[in-house]
Amino acid sequence: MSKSVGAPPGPIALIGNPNTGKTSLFNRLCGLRAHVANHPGITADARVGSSRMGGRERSYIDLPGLYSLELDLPESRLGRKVLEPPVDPSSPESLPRPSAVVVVVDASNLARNLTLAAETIERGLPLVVVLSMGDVAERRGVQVDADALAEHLGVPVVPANPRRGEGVEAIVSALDHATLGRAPESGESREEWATRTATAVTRREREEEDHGTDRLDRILTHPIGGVVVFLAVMAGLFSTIFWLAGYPMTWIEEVFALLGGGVTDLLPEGVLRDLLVDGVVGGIAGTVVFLPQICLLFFLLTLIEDTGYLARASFVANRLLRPFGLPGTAFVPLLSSHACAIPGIICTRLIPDRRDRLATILVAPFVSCSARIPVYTLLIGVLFAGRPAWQGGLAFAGCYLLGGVAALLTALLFRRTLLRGRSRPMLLELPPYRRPSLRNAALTAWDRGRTFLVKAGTVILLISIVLWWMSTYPGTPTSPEVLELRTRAEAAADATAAEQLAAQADRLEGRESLAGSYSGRIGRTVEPILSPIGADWQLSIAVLSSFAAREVFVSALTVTLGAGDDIDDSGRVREIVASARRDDGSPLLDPAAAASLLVFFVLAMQCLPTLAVTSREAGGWRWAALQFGYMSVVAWFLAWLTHGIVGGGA
Amino acid sequence: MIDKRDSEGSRPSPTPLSDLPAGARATLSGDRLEATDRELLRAMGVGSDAPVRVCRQGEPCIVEVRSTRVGLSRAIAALLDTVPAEPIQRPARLTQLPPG
Ligand SMILES: Nc1nc2c(ncn2[C@@H]2O[C@H](COP(=O)(O)OP(=O)(O)OP(=O)(O)O)[C@@H](O)[C@H]2O)c(=O)[nH]1
Ligand SMILES: [Mg+2]
Repeated sequence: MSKSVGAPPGPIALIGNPNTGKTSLFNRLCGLRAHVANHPGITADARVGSSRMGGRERSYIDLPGLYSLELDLPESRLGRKVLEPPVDPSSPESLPRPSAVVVVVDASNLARNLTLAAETIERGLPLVVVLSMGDVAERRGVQVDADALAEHLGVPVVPANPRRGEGVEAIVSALDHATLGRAPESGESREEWATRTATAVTRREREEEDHGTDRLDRILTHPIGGVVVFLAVMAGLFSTIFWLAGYPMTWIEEVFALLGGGVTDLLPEGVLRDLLVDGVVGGIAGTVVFLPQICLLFFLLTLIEDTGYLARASFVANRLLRPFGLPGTAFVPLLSSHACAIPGIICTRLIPDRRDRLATILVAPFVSCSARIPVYTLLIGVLFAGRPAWQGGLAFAGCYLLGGVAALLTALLFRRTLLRGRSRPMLLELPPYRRPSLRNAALTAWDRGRTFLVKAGTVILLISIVLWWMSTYPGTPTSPEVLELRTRAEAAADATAAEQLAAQADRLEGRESLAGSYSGRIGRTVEPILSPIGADWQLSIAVLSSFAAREVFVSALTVTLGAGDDIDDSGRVREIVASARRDDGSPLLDPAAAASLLVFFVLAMQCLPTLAVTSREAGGWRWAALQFGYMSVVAWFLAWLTHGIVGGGA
Repeated sequence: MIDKRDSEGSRPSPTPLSDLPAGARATLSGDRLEATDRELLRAMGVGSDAPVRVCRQGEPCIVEVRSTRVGLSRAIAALLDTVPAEPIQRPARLTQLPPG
């Protein structure tokens, strides 16, 4: 019977209802960073880790919380996939069958938790039951007799507090004695069995109603009060993120500027140096710079989640989003998209309904992400030069608003057409209010940040290299003008003048080589498409480059204008861009062009990594193509309108 | 929708969950939900015969079942039938909807 003794060390699966402490236990066991949060069903993936606790190496799988293995929900399907023998063991998709299962059971809610335990027992794997939340149960006047429960189930039962790390060693030693449990006998349903067992092992000292929680729930989900609290929390969240993340972002930019300078000094002039400085260092810098915002967002979001507020907020959000065909559960993904659409789209795994989920994925990139900020800053700076600062601030807020409105209206459009269907009414467990754990939040922020770096970093790096290549090759012969400037520089008597002339020659050469490069040629080719929104060939190159990743716009524009890609000094960039001319001598960025480009950048789908994530999460390139096509058309059209209105009015 | 003309007598008759006032206790007796919602609720512990306490009425309707708190949109609460533990104090449903 005892399969466990001498068995090959297959992984140990942690399973249980949502919010029972599985991830906390997993973190305690493995010391590995995985997402922990007080929000039902937040772990969207199974995490794997290993531990040497108890004197031998074991690997563990942390499954997302689930109510039942029998449901048609993503987390239940994943649970079945892990626990049941694979249909085709040779398929690369199949997972190794666990050697044992740890069922984490909430002592304060035993009957429901034991139903899942019964389902697990029926899967025929050796198991250990962990009795968590004993402290919560005790506070409610409920005591569970672990020995009696072990007697009933026929498996080891270990009381533990995963939050505080108590009982973890006992769990590890109990794993040596994991056995097959006693399933409900025929004639008795799992629920009946679970209720009977729970009653037999539970002692209830008093029954009390939690009026404090009732009152808080009523305030936080109130039709008016709830919305006020919700908006206040969101406003606080955003201002904190933007204010706090500003510091590390500046440091990161400075460090990479130093690094780029170091490489420039170390290597001889040439293709390799350009590739490293502009392609590799530039590409990595462009990704890493968003890290503080993403980490901070998830740190604060996890704190809020852990308090139990987020589940209530989902109901408030449901009230606000439902009229547009989006579920309340879409609000965490849309919120995260303000930092970056990639983690936002990955978060949509928590949305149970397929159509709701697809609608959320499709509109998430409309939300203004942090990659747009440098572009907004530049264009608004040009547009509102010499005007009071509050006007620029208002325009900035207007960009965020425009993105949000576009997202909502698009969701409505898709839910009325392509994704038509009844929306599922909201149904969510409300976890108890808790003091958030800073440790949890820090681990989550670290985990999310790392995932972002790996996922986005590799793609963005690749794109940056390709972009660099396209704007460098095929290369053009040096023009007579440049040569003349060089000669004059050499002949110049005073050193400053010589330096200035040489720099001017470099800039002109850079601009000419870009104009002659593949990017430049493409820029000229697409100019007719982009000229209705006010772009000439130079702006076209910059816009086109930014289709790989928006933040490239600023550096591409400075390179195109022959300013070098000195993006450290944003004031100087603005001056150069504001004074730049078109081939016919008119200003490059007149108000109409600046305004229409601003609208274009708010709305256009210019981020290849996001498209890759969309296609994976939505299940096919068709969705990514739809997203790209739809957003580009909307962006172009509204930019064209803006160009007409601003240009006509001026 | 079921017959709304509740008998005013003391014998409790099935009442939609959405009609119970905040603070009321009842036992779930049946539902008219879609299978997916019914199965999920049942797995959450909100199945037939579960004792419920209404913590908040309206949108959302918040109930406590044993020690689980579940938020339900009104559309779901209206499809869950309950047998109140004691006759409802309020005049049984007129044309007015409860506030919220
Ligand atoms: N009071 C108390 N809190 C606990 C205990 N175990 C975990 N927690 C807290 O419960 C919350 C949820 O813990 P998680 O480890 O994320 O639970 P989970 O089972 O992984 O949740 P899902 O992945 O959402 O299913 C966190 O705030 C933990 O700190 C415990 O024994 N007692
Ligand atoms: Mg978890």
